[in-house]
This record gives sequence, structure tokens and C-alpha cells, in this order.
Amino acid sequence: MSRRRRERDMEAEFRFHLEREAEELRRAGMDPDAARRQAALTLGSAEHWQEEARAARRGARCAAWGRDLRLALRGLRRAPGFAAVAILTLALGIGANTAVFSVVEAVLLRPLPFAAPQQLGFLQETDQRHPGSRYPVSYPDFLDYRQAPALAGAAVYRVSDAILAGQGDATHVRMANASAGLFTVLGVAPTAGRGFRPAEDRPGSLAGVDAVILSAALARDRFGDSQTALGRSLTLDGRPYQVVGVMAPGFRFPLDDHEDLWTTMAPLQVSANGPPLTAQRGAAFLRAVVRRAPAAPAAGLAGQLDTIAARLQRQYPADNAHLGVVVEPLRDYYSAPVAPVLWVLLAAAGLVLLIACVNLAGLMLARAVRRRPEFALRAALGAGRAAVLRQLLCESLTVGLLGAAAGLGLAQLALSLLLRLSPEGVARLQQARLSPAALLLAVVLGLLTAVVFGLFPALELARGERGRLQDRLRATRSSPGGPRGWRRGLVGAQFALAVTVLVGALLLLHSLGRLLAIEPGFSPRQVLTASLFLPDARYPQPDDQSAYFSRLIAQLRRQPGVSTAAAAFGVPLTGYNIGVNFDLTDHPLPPAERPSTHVGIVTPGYFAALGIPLLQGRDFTAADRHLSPPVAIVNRSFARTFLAGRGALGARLTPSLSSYPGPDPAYTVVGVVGDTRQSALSAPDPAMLYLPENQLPFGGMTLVVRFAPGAASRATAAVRAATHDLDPDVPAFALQPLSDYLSGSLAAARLSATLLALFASLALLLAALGLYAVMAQAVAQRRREIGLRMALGADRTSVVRLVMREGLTMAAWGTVAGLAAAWALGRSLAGALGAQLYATPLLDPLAFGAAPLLLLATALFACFLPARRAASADPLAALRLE
Amino acid sequence: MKGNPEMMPGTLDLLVLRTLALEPQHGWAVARRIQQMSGAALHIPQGSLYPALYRLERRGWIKGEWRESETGRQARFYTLTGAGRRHLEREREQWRRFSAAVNLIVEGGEA
Repeated sequence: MSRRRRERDMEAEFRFHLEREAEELRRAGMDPDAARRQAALTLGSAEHWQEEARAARRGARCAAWGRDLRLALRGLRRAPGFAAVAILTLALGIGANTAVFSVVEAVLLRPLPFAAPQQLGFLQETDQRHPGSRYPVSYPDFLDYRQAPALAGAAVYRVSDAILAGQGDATHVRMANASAGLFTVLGVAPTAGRGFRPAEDRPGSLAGVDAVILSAALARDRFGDSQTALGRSLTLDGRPYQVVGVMAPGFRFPLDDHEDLWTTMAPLQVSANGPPLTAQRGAAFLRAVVRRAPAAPAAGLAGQLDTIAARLQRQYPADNAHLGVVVEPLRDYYSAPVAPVLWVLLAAAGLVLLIACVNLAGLMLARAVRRRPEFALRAALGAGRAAVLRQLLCESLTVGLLGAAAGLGLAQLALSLLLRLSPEGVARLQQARLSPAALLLAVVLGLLTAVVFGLFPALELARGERGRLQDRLRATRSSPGGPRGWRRGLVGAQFALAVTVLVGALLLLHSLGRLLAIEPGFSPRQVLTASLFLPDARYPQPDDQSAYFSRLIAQLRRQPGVSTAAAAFGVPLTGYNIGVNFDLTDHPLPPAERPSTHVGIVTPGYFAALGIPLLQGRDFTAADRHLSPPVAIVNRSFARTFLAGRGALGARLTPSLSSYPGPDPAYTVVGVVGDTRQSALSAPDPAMLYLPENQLPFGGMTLVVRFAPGAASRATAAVRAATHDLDPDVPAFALQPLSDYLSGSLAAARLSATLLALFASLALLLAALGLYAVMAQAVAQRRREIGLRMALGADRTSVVRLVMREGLTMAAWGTVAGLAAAWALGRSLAGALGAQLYATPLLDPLAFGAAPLLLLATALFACFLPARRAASADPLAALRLE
Repeated sequence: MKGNPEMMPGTLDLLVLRTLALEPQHGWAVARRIQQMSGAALHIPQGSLYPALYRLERRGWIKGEWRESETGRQARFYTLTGAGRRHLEREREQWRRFSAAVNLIVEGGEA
């Protein structure tokens, strides 16, 4: 019905009423005018109530909801304890879930920021003798793989450090060398300028210089804005470049790094001595991204690549023996390292939320039972069941919404904290924001929890309505039965859930403790590290590089506060690791069977600077020079693995370094040093072969400077000053204490253990709160019985025992059930959790022993307070209560 | 309107429904009938009749339509619906309970 029609209708109705009333009065003898006035009077002041009538017609529904909402808020304000606990409980559960879910969404669920990302794959080589091994590929191998017909495109890249000069100060930048098709394969384009052209993989394609594409941030810092940057010249590692494009702000590739600029393969295609890296089939240093043709099945692509790999094995046995090829989805490549721990955390947060919901259900139930008389009265006064139900629902919804809102606040806080504490190198982690999906999840969870558990008391109430009114009005706290049975079950369930989370947390904590106790084999305290990169263009002769480092080290050693200094490639935990194949010169093996080892290239004094013990023989000296007999030092693992029974000193080794043309020289072992952790604290000590920097000059080195206690900042200043003095175009970068790398290596383990421990504490707290609430209520309900017992001679101790026994029984059943669940869960999560644990078995006796003890101690505490209150009650007062 | 007991919220609805249960009526007649049936003890409060009628109609308990009245003029008649009849039964049950509760207190019943 239209609004106007309704209005006309109403007017007609009122007119009829007035006339009918007047007629009646006339019939009773009143004169017409007076009758009309009187009639108008009976109907009352029209203005006032016509509006009311209109409202009634429009519908009182919204008004009723509004009233219920106000009622709910007032009710909650009257019970601030209940409100605070209920809202906080829900907020903690929702906050934990939303924060973790936001991270999971950003890191695991969100599609990669590339076109048709499901077609993208990551191509690596694998040693078929070691399933699961993954290696980068060489450029020649890549060119062969690219021929597979099922590929719509393929590109390679490698990331490195470079020195940017030419506009302002020389600075260190992160650079990616990519084959020209990279952006096409990813389906992205620069926002300004253009992408690379295929011809630009060859050196000097732009009138003698190479092409470079900048990140938006670098373009802004160096040139002001993207458009200005186009066409400008830059110098990278001493080579000239021209800017051809600028990427969109926030663009990253690779996703787990932070690139400032991208160039082509051109700079890798030139070499001052010997064949360039891109021409060596053995130089496996490239990462490969491939795009599967939309129509091609993944299996077809794998088959084609296997065929190519098999042909390469036959064709190039020296470089490609045993080498296979694997393609995994690009998304998996980035998420695989963190996915297990994230799922475990999400599961733990989910358990915390479950516990919170169980708590909330218990709270709502207890409140409903307490308010039974109130609702009975309301029902008696004419409130329909629907009205009571609506009010209860309204109250639950209010609690749910407030809990969700507070939970979102907590989640925002938790997320920003998490991002600050999180380790670097987790792809897309820093993009985690409270996502709309997480927001929706939080609100839905809050409402669902509130409605489901708010409805339960309402139904309970409806059931109770069958009783006589008198009974219900008089139903005081001593009503036994139903709800208590329910609540006991709920408490048991809470403890079962809590013990599961607790066992998980203890497993990770135990593992972290083991990691912290590891002896890394060197002393990381009071050592400053800094990276240096000498461009070939600036230091073309190997001897120039050696000369630079010996002068720099000599100058640093003279500085006050510096006790010693050295330089090395392959400093533990810095992430610089290379492996080479080698041969025992006096017991040669065919190329395919040669073993491989990690390599360190070090200056004299390196072992002393890091505190690595010299076990046999001698350190390198200044006398080990370019033309003197080649010498090497090995670590204990190397000697045990490869030189057992031969005597390490004097053994001769031939590493395949291929940095000089001609046959590789033989190096004589002159010393044995202690083992060190290299790539990660949790990885066992690898075999290490150390070669002298003087005999094998290397452009990219890490300075290690051991300083006197308290002289950290002086050492930092000294490194900056000395490098600047020596060559202002070679800035030192990544200046940080070696201990930072150590804690960085532990950051992931520490973060996941901390988070899980936090969740476990929440679970424990909530479970204790739930048990306490139930016991306090039980004690209140049984005051009469307890009073009777005490009046009959029971002493306080036996009352305490009675109450404690009841509470602990609930907790114990829950804990036993939870341990069984944790055991079963642990077995099914073995893959996920096992990879996170260091030297800790999944059925770790410590975790499985300590968790129930902790829980029972908590339960003891939660029961003790109500028990003491029960025992301290005055028996007479308790009896009089009824 | 002297001696008119104050009406409790919700009771007007009950009275209106009960009146319409006898036969379809227009607003004026409903007021009149309540007054008569209660022995003139109950007077419909000023201006609450039509809001009550509209509210009940909105809830689907009564249905209004224009018909010829006893005086030959068009008036809006209200009829009790099936849902309204069921609701009335519930309301009457509630009312019985309420009076029992009030009696319990007023008469000081010890159960």
C-alpha cells in the first residue's frame, strides 16, 4: 500500500469514528454542534496519537529491537563482571584467530600478484641420487629446458648486491639479473617506460650500454619521479646502464627479497678472464620461473623436461651426471617453508577460540540459570516466549559484537607486533593486513558463537517453562540437574583442548631450548660484519682485489678498539655459501663421482678473529701468495669424511673452481680447524674447505672485525671511515654484529615457539577461568548441603577435599582425553610439526609429562578459591538461606 | 473516566482480539463493545485504540477491509484471522497465569 493511500485510508477511518460518535451523542439528545465537539474530545488530541497510529502501521518491529538492544546494554552494565569476562574471553579468541588468519591469508591464500599465477612454476635441478635435493640451474641448461613445447615462457634470474653510482653517492643496492623475458613470463609491465627486449640480454645493446629497470622507490629517491628517471644513465658495479622502465610501487620479484633494480643477463655475458658464467654448463647459479602453456597439463610438461634432462646427462656427463629437473608451483616454492608452522599456529588459535566459546557458553548458561526467576516473572507478565528469546538473543548478539570489535582491536595490535618480530625472507609476510576476509571471519565467529550459545540458555528456558509458575518464580540457586551436567562436560572439553595446545607449545619450546644450547663452533660476540663488493670493472686484476683487502685489514687493525680484523667469503650464517666438487689429487675419481664440499675463502687471521680453533698445522700467512704453492685448510668434518685414515696434513686436493683457464691446481692441506654451523644453526656442521684469499681472489667478501668490549660503535665508524678512505666508490654495506645473524637464524623458531606459548597460556587461562566459574557456581549451589554437612560435624578440610575432588576430576578427565588427542594429532601432524622440531621427538616425554602437570596445577588453583570459600561459610547462615 | 483502572500494557491487545473474536467490527464499535462488556468499567484510553488496531493488523492477527456499516456508510471493519485466534488463545493462557501470579501475591498464597 502506498504511503499516500495509507494516509487517506486512516483519515477516512478517523472521520467515520468522529461522525459515528457524534451521531450517538445526538441520538442521546445533544445538539449537533456540541455533539461534534464532544466526539472530538473523546478521541483525544488527534495530532498526538495520529503519529503514534502511523508508527504502529509502519511496524513496531524496529522499535522493539531497539528497545531490546537498550535493554541488553543496560543488562550488561548491571552485570559488569559477566560482561567483562564474556567480552574479553571472546575478544582473545577472535583476536588470536584474526591475526593468524590475516597472516595465513597474505602468505598462503592470496593469489600471487602475477597474471594467471596458477600457470607459473619454479624450475630447479635435482640430484637424482638424493630425492628432495634442489639446485639452481646453469644458463646453458636453462636454454635447453626452454625448448619444451608445453612451456608458454621461461625466464631465469639471480639476485646479488651491487654498487650504484653516477647520481649522488655510491650506494649499495639489491639487484636482480634476469633474462629479458622475465616480466613477460610473470605477466607484469613497468608503469613507466617499457620492459626488456630479447636483444637486451646481449651486452651493449643500447648504443654500447645495457638496459636497467628501477623500482618506484629507487626512481623517486634518485630522480624525483618515474618519468624523470626514464632514459637517464646509471653506473652499476662500474658498468654504464640506461633506465628503460620503472616498476609499480610495491612491486617485488623475487617475492622473498627486496630488489631495487632489475637488469638483463648482459653483464653476466662478459668476463675479463675465461668464459663468462653464462657460458659454463657447470655454473648453476640461476633460479628459473616457467609458465605452462594454458592447454598443457602439468604431467606433459614434466615428461618433456625429463626427456631434455636425460639428453643433457648423456651429452654432458661432466656437468650434468645424475641431474634431473623438477617444476613446482611458484606459490608452493614461496609458501612451503612457512606453511606448516602457519597451519599449526592457525590450528592452535582455532583451539583457543573453541575454548573461549566453551567458556562463553558456560558463562551464558550460568547467567540464564541465575535469571530464571526473572524470565519466569516476565513470561507471567505477558512477555511471549518470542520476546524472551529475542531479548536473550539480543544480549548474546551484543556480547558477540562487542567481543568481535574488541577482538579486532587485539588482532590489529597482535598483527603489528608480529610483523615487527617476524624474521625476514618470508615472502609476502609484510603485506599482511587485517583483511576484509579476516574481518568478516571475526564478525561471523563472534555472532555465531554468541547466537549458538546464547540460544542454548533460551531453549533451556523454554524447556523449563513447562513447570509450574510458582516453582519457577521460586527457583533459586539451589536448582540441581541439567546445566551443571552440561557445564561439567564443557569444562572437561576445555581442558582437553588446552592440553593439546600446551603439548604443541612445549614441543616447540623444548626444541627452541635445544637450538639455543647449540655451540656454533665460533664465538659470535663482539664481532662486527660488513659486506664489500669489488666490481670487476674497477678491480680487473685478481691481485688488485687482494691488495685492496690486505690494505683495508691492516688499516682496520690499527684502529683503537679493534682487536683484530679479517675478511672471508662464507662467514657462518651470513647466507653466503657455495659448494664445489673436488678430487683427491692422489686418488682421482671419475668426474661424476667426485664429492662436493662447502668452500670458504679467507684471509690470514680469519680463524682467530672468529674464535675458530686451529686443531692441527698452521693458519694461512702473508707468505701464501699468488705464485707460491697452493695451500688449503680443512675443518674436522672434512678430515673425518674425506681424509679418514690418511692423515689430513699434506693431503692434496683439486677443487673444480674453473675461474682460471687451464687445469685446476692442486692444493696441499696445511691445517685443520674446528667445525662451524654454516647455513643455519639447526643444520649439522658441513665439511668445509678453506682456501687463501691471496691465491684465489674473490670480489665479494665479508669483513669480520673483532672489537674490544663496549667499542661496537667505534668499530662501525672505523669500518665506514677505512672503506671510504680506500675507495669511496666501494661502500661497505650490511654492517651488523655477527650475533644478529645468529639470532636471525633462530628468529623463526623463536617466533613460532613464542606464539604457540602465548596461545597455550591463553588456553590455560581460559580453561582455569571456566573451571573456576563452574566450581564457584557449584559451591554457591551447594551451600545448603555443605552447611548441613558442617552442621553434622564435617570439618573444613573434608569440605575443601570434597570440592577439590569434584573440580579436579573434571580437569583430569579432560586432560587425559586431551593427551590422547594431542598424541593422535601429533602423529598426523608429524610432517608439519616434525620439520619445526630440532632434536626433539614428537612424543617428547618432557612435553607430554609437563603439560598435564601444568594443567593440574592450574586446576588446583582454580578449585582452591571456591573450595576455601565453601569451607569458610557459616553453616547456620547457609542453612537459613533457603 | 473516573474510576477507570489503569490498563496494563498488552491487555488492550487482548481486549481488542477478544472483542473481534465475537464478530468483525469497526473501530468505533470495538471501543463501544469493550466499554459495554466491562460494565463501563473499562474505557479505552484516548488515542490508543487505533495504534493497537494497526499494530495487530501488521502482525497478521486481524485484517481490515472497507465495508458498509450499520448506518449505511463505509467503515473499516476488522476481522480476526486464524493466527489471531491462536494468538488470542495464548494470550488468554498468559492472562490466566498472570492473574494466578498476582493472586498468589495479593492473596498471600503460601504454596
